[in-house]
Amino acid sequence: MPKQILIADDSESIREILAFNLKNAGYEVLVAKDGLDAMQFLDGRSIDLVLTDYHMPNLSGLELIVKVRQIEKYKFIPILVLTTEKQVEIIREARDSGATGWLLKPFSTDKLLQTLRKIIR
Amino acid sequence: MNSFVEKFKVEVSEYFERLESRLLQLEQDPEDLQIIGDIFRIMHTMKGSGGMFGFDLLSDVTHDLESLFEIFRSKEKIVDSEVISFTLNSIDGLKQLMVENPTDENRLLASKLKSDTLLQITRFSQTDLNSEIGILPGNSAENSIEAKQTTYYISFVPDENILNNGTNPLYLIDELNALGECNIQVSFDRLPPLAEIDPLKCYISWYLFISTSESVDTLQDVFIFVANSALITIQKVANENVIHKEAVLAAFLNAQINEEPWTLLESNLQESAESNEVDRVEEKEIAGVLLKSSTEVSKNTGFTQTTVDSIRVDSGKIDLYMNLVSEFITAQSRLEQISSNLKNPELELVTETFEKLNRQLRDNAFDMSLIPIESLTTRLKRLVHDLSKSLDKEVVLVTEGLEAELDKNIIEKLIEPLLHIVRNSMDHGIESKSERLLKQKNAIGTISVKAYTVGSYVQIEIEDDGNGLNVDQIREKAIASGLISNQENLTDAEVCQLIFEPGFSTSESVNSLSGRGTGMDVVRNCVQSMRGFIELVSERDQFTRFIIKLPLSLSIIDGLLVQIGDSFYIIPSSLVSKLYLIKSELLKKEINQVVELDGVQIPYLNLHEEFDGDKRVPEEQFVVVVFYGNHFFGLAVDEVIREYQAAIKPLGRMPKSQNLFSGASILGSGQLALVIDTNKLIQKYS
Amino acid sequence: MVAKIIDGLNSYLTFRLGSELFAVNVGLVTKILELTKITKVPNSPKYFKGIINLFGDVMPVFDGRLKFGFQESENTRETCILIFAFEFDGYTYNSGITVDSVEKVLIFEPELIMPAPISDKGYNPEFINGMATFNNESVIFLNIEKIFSEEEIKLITTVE
Repeated sequence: MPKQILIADDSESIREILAFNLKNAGYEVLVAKDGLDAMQFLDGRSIDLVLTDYHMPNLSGLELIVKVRQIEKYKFIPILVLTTEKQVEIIREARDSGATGWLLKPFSTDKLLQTLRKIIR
Repeated sequence: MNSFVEKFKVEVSEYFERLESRLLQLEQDPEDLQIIGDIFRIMHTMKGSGGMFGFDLLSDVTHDLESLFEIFRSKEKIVDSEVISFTLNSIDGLKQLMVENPTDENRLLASKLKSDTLLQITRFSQTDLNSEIGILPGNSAENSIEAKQTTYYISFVPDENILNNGTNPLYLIDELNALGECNIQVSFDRLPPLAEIDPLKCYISWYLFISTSESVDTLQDVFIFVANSALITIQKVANENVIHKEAVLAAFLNAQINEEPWTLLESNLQESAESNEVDRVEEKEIAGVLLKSSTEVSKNTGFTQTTVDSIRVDSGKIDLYMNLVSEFITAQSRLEQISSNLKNPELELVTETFEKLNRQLRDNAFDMSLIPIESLTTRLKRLVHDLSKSLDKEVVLVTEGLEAELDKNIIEKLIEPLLHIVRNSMDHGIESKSERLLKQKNAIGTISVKAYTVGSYVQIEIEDDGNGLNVDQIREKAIASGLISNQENLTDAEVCQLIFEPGFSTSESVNSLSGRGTGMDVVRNCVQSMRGFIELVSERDQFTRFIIKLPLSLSIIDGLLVQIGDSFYIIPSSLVSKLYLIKSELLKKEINQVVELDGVQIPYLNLHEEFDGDKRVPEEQFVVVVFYGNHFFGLAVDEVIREYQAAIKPLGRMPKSQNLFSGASILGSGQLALVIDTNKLIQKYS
Repeated sequence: MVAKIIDGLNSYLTFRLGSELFAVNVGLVTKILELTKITKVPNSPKYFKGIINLFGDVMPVFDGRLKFGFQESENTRETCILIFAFEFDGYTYNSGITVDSVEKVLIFEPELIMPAPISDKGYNPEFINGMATFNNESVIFLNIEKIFSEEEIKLITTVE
């Protein structure tokens, strides 16, 4: 069964290019326009990975992670944070919130897929 | 792929706009950290996204701009107006860099923008700059020995709670395995007694030798996500593949246990990568920004001002939706007609419900296609900002009620006229500082833009507190250029409107007065083409105020359905002032066609005669009084049927001479009603 | 939508104005209507008859006789409105023209269509794609786009 990935990003173009590339790579993709929107998908369906932007309206990436981790079913699913922040603080903050890892924008499709392989199979 | 790029471009133009608007706000309030934070984040987003879509130049330049704003975000220095102007100009530059295949010229511009930004950065950080550049050298020494095999020892002791972050440690070991030849030991040392085992915790540790041609950075990269939730050491064992040399491996392990330095190799090559390794890598990258970065990033600082739940819909789809609603309205009036003929109570009930729903649907469709006038203010503010500098006038732009909404098509068409009016006010309206002081006015001029919704139209007023119009000069000029004769007894208010006449401004060389009217005929044409009207009120040395009245939408209007002979016409309600029913004999054709209504002499046009010739004349006729410029004009019709919600259809390709009608609406009977362009009509006949 | 004239589709609709027989490629004709109610548009030139409601769209209708420079005449039972689709300035427009009668659809191979002779009848070659003969009668092939892109035109200098 293909792995299902939930993308949360407030930039439509980023969302679409991610979804496009992930679908091409054989993943199934769910798309949300912010953290709050993403929460709707966490309704018990099976999700293998969450890719979330760091800055988002309504529910930021980190807030989303905290919420996801509170749901029993998704307690252990991998979550990657997309950010351009190169500061350690952000990464540390993300990790403290429960993120599995991060991706620094800009990244190539190869880098994305390579990073995914690091955390899901 | 291209559709992403297109969408991205749209997004970027929104970012630009938001940046401009925030920068202008920042100029008012240079220490507002929220604004600075916003600016920083927008740049940040552009930098990151730009790279993803191949707009590397954009990415590059915003990267530096971001660094510049980092200085202000970290409260090291305070923004000054030079930075604001600089950044605004850089944004103009960035707009030119939004090309998919940059030319040398683009690249040149980018590097100029970058070096200019660097200059700005230097301006704010003279002292500590030099010391920070020094950390740039990369790790080329390490990279150069990649080709040959090296053996490392890695110990990976995950935190018990590592699983909480969604990490699967096994994948990391797999990844190492893929990088080279491994000799892996798994340790269960930390495993508690069975009864105490928490299945959600990780008690296992891994110790392994790996022989690889990859660099130590690559090995560290494997653990990049878990560096803080695991104890990781990477040590070099040998500069060759010793994975099968058990003795060497054992000797290495022995030295570890006895805490002796591992001496088989040159100790300077020993790599110890603890969790701070990641931090080191990060710092290296930050050094590239030439700045010490601030570490403050608050958690909840998304673009909170845009928290409205919204989706982006292609404007073509909205247009289609509006069209369908128009069709629906036409179909509904047909239904009404049939229902009133059949007099079937049930049908009438359904028709009524249909009508109500239809109205809601229309309002809803309106809502969707309407956008706040506010979306124009950034452009206006930018203009005021730029012109203030170049004209050396200090002017504030005050806005009020700009949340009022208009059809996006109207807003688009409105941009140029509004800019033109504001430019005019800046150029010719607002006096120089010294002149203002002489007049005992506030040295700072004010331009105010106000809007409010009245029924199905919006009124926009643009006012400056400058020198007002010189009525006498305008009158002279109008007479000189033959616009009016010197016999004509125009009131001052009427004289002011003359600047909208096409002949007014072009007849004389440009001076401060003629400048005032330049292009105003274009402005009026534009407003009239949207079934709106514009007028001007001015008080010498006090103010000049432009008043623009526009319908909410171009495709559906509230109109007055009137009948002349056996034809129907629609007059836009937004232009109608009053209705009078009078005896037809009062509308006798005289030389100066005026009719007295409520004691006021009003010029009129008997449409019965103009449109229908001399067929039977009704005994009584309605006079529809409409706004024309800033005075009234009467249109005599045979019958006023009712208020009518008209879906307007374009007329197609008409003969050139025909411009009295701006469209037609299909009535319930299937008959057509022409929509009268009252401005053109009155112009033509008076 | 302008139906593209497909190569090899040599079908032409023929119609009459006065005594002349005209032809246009069927691809350009979107509808043939019986004369319906035409809403007059005040203050228009005589050759512009007004507008009609064609299935919810508003369409201008021109008087074929007057637009082409013939004498005005009464409508008969045979009078029809031909709706043409044509492109102008990059936009597609639909406009109608009243004609005295619609004849039939004829097929003319391209080689049968001759360039218009500048002869006794004085056809204005600008508006004409060519001529042919059918049943001993001249058929005039019209350049519809050109005709609609101009205002009142003088198709024939000497009429009837």
